[in-house]
Amino acid sequence: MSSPLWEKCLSHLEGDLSAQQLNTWLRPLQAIETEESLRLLAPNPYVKAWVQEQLEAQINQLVHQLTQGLIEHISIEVGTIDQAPQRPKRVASVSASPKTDKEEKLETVKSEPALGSPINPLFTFDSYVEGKSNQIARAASLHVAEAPGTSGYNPLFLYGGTGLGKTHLMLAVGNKIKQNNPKARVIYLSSERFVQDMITALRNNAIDQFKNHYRSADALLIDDIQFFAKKERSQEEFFYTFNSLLEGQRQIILTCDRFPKEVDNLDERLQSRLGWGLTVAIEPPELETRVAILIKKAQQNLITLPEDVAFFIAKRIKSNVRDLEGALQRVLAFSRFTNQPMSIDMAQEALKDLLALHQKLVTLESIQKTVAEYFKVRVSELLAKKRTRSIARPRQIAMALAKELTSHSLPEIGESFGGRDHTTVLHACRKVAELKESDPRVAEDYRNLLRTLSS
Amino acid sequence: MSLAETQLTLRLSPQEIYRLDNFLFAKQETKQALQAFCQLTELDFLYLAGESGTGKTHLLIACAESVQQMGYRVIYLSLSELVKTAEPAVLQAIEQADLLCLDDIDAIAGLPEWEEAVFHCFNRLHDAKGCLLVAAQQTPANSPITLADLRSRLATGLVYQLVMMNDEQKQQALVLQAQSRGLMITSEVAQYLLRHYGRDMPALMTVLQQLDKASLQAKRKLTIPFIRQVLANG
Repeated sequence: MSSPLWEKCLSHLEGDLSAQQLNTWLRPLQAIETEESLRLLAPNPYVKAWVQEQLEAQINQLVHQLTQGLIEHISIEVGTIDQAPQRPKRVASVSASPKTDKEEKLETVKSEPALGSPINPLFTFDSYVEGKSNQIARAASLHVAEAPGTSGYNPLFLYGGTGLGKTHLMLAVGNKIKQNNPKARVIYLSSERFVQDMITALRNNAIDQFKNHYRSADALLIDDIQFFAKKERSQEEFFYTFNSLLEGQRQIILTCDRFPKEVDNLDERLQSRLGWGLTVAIEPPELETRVAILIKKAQQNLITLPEDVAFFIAKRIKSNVRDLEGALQRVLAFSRFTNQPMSIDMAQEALKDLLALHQKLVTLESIQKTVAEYFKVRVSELLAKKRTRSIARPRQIAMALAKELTSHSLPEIGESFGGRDHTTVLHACRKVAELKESDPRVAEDYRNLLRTLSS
Repeated sequence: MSLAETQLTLRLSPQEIYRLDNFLFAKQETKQALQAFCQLTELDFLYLAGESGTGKTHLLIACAESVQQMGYRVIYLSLSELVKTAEPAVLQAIEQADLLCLDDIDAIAGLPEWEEAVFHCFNRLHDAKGCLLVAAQQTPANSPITLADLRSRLATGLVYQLVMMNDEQKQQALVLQAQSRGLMITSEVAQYLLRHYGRDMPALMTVLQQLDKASLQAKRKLTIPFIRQVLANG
């Protein structure tokens, strides 16, 4: 921070505020001090408003006192001085356009942000680990990348749980399209960014620019469209952009955490259109894929991970790729900071806390709670006598999950479900096994629950 | 006490009080990881988990200060503080930071708008290649946060668990903290504080802050009688 006066103010205020308050509200302010004035720049209007409301009088008084009246007034504005040195780039993060959009000296809040987000060049088909769980999605994506807009898979809709590689695959298509045709306009952004850009455009009377920008894309990649839910104006705008791109045979790729029809609070027309192209699921990776992912991620950190260590981690972390990544980070750091070579013993030591916490999570209560939430019924109903299909099915699924995920005996499981007999539990497990074969919906529900409970 | 009544004294800034080297680490690895993280060159996301009173805030502020000293843009936010007084929109535009420190992330659990706002903030920071330091009571696997997308992103961090200090260590920590403020307290005084003003570290730190101010104004050393007098008035 550049202003000695402001530093002094801060150290005085330190005595009157908690460390959290001081650091949350005052440290983010940047100060510009001249002979007659002190300007404080807040990162956004909300910080500014808080400081003005709570502390402006006190700051004024302090400044007055500290400068013996030389500086009468301070101003609090929204803005930023970009004085940070260029941060050396991390090994694993080659940036497509390193922070060049940070405008030079003083950036006011009105300045127009660049539309779209940078596409990470590391997310390619080569760095994507293929397995049973994602091979259809990968094949479809590759197909789209080779013939964007004309492959018949338009839109390409990738869905699956969080942390399974949807974004990676989508960006791999983006990178491939650009590699094949460097002039192609590939725009990537999250649905939240789309909403924000639209709001900014509306505020600045620049909605036409906004429309032109997105409608001129050769490929439009939007991440996590479930966050469009309830945002009607954005959905409408997106709907028109969507139609315009499809008509012009431009490629659209979308990711979502669920099947298009299951996204709540989405306009029906939009919902149906999302399913016009190809909709493919990405499933949680199986053991071999998890091992391969770990080895590849370690390689990106320039470290060779022995296969047995990778197996050790992959057997224990089953939920999603991000959990794997966290576990790997921990093992790599442990090896580095304790100077130990990679081994199973070392990994076990490094992951002690992490694994203990992963395992103690699943209890009969947590299964009942999770299943009840998933099927939107009450836990008390699961435990009650009622036997209508809408309650009985979730109850049976919960029992089957309890048998699979806990070490409780069948009589114990029966007891915890409102004092039922162990033969009821046995029947439930058989029934669910049967339904998983015959009814894909049940199979999907079961998989989803398994994933939620073991993540 | 208004400013007019109080003599303005030369005070310390947070970077002198909250440092990595005046913190008692249970594990050296945690210290090394934090030191490496503060370079902002290779580690980009650290997650500290620990109960209240294990030193999360101290460490977050220490990192924030040290990174800021290097000339980077740092933003520290206490989410327990924010949820009380602000709207989720306060998280707009903070991804301009080179380092974002989010304290008490559990405070947003069960508040869908806040969870979503932090999730989007995480993504924007990630796009902008900013570094992130998070403190929480629970590890990501046990986090009370309900939004799965946010939970899974939190899981990518390098997680370190902080452990509760025993009374002897707390005493030691108090002496160290006081020293950093330029105050000398004997281990007897530290013991007295622990016995009479609770064994909860955040509360003890607030007491120390109060005593620091009082001792500067009164130009008195921190003796047990003086402490009694100050804290009786406060």
